[in-house]
Amino acid sequence: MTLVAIEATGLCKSYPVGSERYTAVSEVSLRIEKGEFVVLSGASGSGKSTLLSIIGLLERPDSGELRLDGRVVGHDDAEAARMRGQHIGFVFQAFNLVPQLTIEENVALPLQVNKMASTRQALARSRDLLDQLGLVDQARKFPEQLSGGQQQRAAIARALVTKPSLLLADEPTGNLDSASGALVLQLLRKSHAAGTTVVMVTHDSRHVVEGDRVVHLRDGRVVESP
Amino acid sequence: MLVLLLRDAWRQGVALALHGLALAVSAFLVVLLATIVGHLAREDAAGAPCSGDVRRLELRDSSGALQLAPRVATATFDSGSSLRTYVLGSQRLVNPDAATGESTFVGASDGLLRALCLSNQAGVHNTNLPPGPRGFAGNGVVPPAGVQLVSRIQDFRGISGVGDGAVWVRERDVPWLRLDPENWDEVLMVERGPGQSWTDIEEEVDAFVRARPGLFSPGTEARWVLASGIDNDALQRGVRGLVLLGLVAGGILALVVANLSVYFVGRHPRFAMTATVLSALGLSRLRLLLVAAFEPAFLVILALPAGTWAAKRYLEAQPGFGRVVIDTSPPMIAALLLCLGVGLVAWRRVAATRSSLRPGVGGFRRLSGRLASSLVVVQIAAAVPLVALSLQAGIGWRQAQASQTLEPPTNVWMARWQRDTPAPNGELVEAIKAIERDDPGAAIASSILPLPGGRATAEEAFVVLGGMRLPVARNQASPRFLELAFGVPHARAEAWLGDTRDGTAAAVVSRSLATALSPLPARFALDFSAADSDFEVPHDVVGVVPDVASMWTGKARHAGVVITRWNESSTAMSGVVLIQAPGVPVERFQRVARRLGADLGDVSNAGTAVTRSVQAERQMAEAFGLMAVVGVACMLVGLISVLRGVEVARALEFSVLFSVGASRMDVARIHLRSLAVPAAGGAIVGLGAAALATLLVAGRRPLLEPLVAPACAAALVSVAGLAVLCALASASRVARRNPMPALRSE
Repeated sequence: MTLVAIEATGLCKSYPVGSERYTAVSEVSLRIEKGEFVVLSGASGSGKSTLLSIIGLLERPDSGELRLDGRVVGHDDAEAARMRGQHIGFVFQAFNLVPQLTIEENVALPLQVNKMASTRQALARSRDLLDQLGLVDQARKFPEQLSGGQQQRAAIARALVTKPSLLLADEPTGNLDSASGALVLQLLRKSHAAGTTVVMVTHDSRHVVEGDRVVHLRDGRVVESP
Repeated sequence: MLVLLLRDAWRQGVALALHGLALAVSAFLVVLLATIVGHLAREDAAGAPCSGDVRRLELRDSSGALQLAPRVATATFDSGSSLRTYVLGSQRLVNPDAATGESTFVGASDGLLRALCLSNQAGVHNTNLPPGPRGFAGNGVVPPAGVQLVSRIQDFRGISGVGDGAVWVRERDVPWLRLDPENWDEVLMVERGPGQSWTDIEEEVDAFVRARPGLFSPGTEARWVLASGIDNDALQRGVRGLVLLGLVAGGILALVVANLSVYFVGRHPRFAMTATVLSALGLSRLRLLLVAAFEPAFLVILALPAGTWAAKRYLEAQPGFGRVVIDTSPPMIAALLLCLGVGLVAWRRVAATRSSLRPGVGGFRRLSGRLASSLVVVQIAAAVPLVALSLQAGIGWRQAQASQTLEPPTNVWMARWQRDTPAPNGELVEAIKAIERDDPGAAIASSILPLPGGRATAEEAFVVLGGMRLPVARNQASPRFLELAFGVPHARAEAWLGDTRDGTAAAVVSRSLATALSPLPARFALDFSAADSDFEVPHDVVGVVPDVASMWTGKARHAGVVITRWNESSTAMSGVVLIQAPGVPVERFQRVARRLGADLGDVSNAGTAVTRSVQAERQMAEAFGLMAVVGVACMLVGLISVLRGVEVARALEFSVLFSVGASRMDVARIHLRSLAVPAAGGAIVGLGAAALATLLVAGRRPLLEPLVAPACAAALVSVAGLAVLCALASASRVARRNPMPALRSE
């Protein structure tokens, strides 16, 4: 029996744009099994990033219900924060490393924020992970001193440092050259192989094949085919 | 292009308005300070009444022996020197001719004459003596027989009287200097004239001495003596004033610079989009610079004149300033250069970094944590002392209002005693004499004027007149004296003297004084009505120092009054009032008051009441209050802007923290914690500056409660409270901020 990692029902999300509202996600229902690698695909503005942020508990849907590991989530801020910190890892297109922190500090950040380790332990685990990703030499550097690919690998390390059961990646190769992008995808596959559920957003058709399953979005709705 | 610029300005309208306001109030403060400084400087240069203008000069020969100054003075006057030189005593006082009873005082000074003149006038506020050479004739007063003018002493406000073989001199608002009677012939007091420096005067006197070798022993040199209680005090006041001014000006300039920094740092990225578009359209570097200067110039053109105009109007409404001309005084130039420098640096940065500008960059992205922290420190540190000064002045004003019952501005402390058991006047006299013996500097004690009450004997009575204590015994009082001293008509005085043997002298004097010094009874009536109904004023005022009259005008140094409970069945007095005149250090007054109270013993009711010029306190409260209001306004604008900048600059950081598991409360807490350190730093610096500033102000107004601690504490609490409110509002915005825009931005 497969376990359900994510179960979304009737999710809706809209934003105010001037005097009107722009609907980013409309009546999206989605079911993702544990250990699955799902690719959310669609054109720019189709709502895939918004859907990902809702699944990652960064945003609340206007309506609909979201279950993670069978539990309804999103209403309690503290519970959502705990889920984000301990069970969800995020990788963004813009890397989003904190510029004032070194690479190892960036990677250790989730452990410290969630009080999962002491500072020393967090930094040690951070260096271990960076070593695995071939970045240990860059551990003491600041993000701006690294290339885009290195930054994204560091961002993946930050996402994986808490050993999350769900990894969400929003256009992780969008700002990278093809070689770096391939390396990042390889890391995601490796994480998936280790049992992590991966949901990746991309509008690049070349990367669609990476997933076990592809979910197409258009105008905020799930469609059968692109 | 204009449309684009206007649209950019319109989009930032609120920020523009806020920073324009901050700039305007900053300009207001800078102009205000600069003009006040310029005003004071001009006043000082003109030789207007200001502290520290009198020094004492000693002439000593090579052996160190004192040379006679009077000869210098006489010759100086004869030579038509420009020096305003005054000599106290060219000869010893001639003792009163007790045999004839005609000369009740000898020696004279302008101050004494003025006191006499004033005491002759019912309206005691007339200080406009006739122009021309001062002297008895000049003042329209016929010199009494036996009075010898020691020299032609001109308009020297510092000499008030002689007595007891000693000379008391004063400079405005500084304690009396009692000159040693043994050396008084050698005392030369010099007042600095307009445009003169002390060095010039010293050289002039030295040249004079060298040119007249026959008059002086070889090697005679003029040496300035920082007469105790005169120049030191003045110097200290000057230094204190400068430090205070520096503190206030520094705080205000810090606010100005901080606000300008916030404005330019915030504007730099805001202008990024416009700059990028214009650059893409092919605008040259120079034109881009000019475009970048558009908004600041717009701001400066609007704000600076507005602030300057407001400061000018405010100052012109203040007494003593007249028409204010905004001049180019050094502080003003420095402030403008500073503002210009900040602006140029910012514009240069905009022009230099145009290639790195990318569309979509939010405002304040370049606001570094260190700069933000510094700005928070500066804003709070600058606001605390301004608010503390305002609170101190405001409370002082209320304090003065509560205690002031008489309009003429003067500083008066009053200590009162009431005895349960009436004591003879002689006891008080002895107590005063003992204090004078032990504490010669306690001028206030010698001012006490007990006049005979009831069946008091003549030997117990004396009067102090302008610092000269004279025996007023039946065998010495003359009609001439009464006429001169108290304005008693000659015929009346004769009649009064005729009645002295039956004990009504005091009553006559009392009535005369009550007429001449009409404000005094009213004051006492108010004071006593609240405290003790046993005192029935003015009927119980049996003696008043004539110099009280000039005390109200700020010309005299000390005065005293004895309130005697007229008791037909007793020779006793039941109360004493001791008035401290302007400038007498409160410590000295309190020491004398304590001593007198202790010597009298059996004191059942001793207390002090503080009065002071309400007008002066009100002006101080208004000025500091105004500075505090605009200072706090600047602080709020700056602080809110900095916090908004921090929110923008740290948006990514907060969003990342949020994404890795921090709750909204956690993020807000982190934001607040990061603000706590600079805020605490600002509070500490501000508290130190506030303590220093309030101490300096307290030193300049010794007659009021210093209020250093409460003012500083209240200022800290209020400023910290405002800062906390700003920080909480900022934390709330941070907590409610949607993290996605920052996380998605490229």
